[in-house]
Amino acid sequence: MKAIGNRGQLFSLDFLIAMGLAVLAMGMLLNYFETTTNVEKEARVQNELNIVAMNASALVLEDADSKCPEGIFSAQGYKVYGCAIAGPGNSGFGNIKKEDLMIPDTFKCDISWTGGDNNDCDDDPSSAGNIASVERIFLERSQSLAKADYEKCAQGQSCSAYTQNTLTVKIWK
Amino acid sequence: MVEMRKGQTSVDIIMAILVALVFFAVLNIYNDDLSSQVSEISMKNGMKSILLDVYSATASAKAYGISIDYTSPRLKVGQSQKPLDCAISFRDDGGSNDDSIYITSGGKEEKYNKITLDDITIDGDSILNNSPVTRPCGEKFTIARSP
Repeated sequence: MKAIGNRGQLFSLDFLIAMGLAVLAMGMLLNYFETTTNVEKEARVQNELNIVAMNASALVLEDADSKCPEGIFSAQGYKVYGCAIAGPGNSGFGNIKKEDLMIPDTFKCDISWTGGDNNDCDDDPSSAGNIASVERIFLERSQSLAKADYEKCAQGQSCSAYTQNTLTVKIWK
Repeated sequence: MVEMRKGQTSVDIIMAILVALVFFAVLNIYNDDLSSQVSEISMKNGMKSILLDVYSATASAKAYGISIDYTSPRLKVGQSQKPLDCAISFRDDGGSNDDSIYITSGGKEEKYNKITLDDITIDGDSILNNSPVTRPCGEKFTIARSP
């Protein structure tokens, strides 16, 4: 006990242990707050990316450059849904500009589909942090569409008029 | 070893009080700064949420060729009951395919720019020709794709 009661000694061992524990508890509390804040921020960023990606993918399929021509079908009361022309190179999906897909300039994008890439949205996502990736199935016309083919497809029989493809839109910042 | 007298204040307690005083003074300054930062971030987040909502409605109108009677949320910061004034602005920034959606409030703005809104109308008004179409937050307006 003599050593503990020495003159000039400021802190007791109990006090130091208590301080250590208090600092540890405060550190854990701050870490918890920081983690919670980060999770909320990440969720908000991811939500924004998802919305931009979903809108962009819908706009790709609905763009005038990629819509299947309805030809005589509309005159006969038919409407071709979910059909797009992805096309090679600069036609179809490849030709659509980033601005036309309403992807703001602060976002980066990579748009691809079975057998092709968009020319304007062709950034490399390998070093990106948060990425929103949206896939949409679409039908691509594989031959000149005849009414008989259309009806066969509608009846669920062997449908050779369309090929089922996948469009992938990736958005990040 | 010098024994302490009854009622004597120890060096330990004086040090502890001093440290506590300094700590609370610093904490108070930090809290004031944090409070102002939280208020600013909360306002920014509110504006971003409205921007995202307007953007989403506009993109749906454009993609599916539909007309949307849209009412934006009002801008509220934190627990305050009174909404802040804010405005939604659709602008043609001049260049080709260079349109923007802005949310402005109290001199601050959030925007999505370089998006094509050429075929979008707001209450029938086109965004083309550098004429911004502005509506206050919380009011209803119609977003449509021009035929």
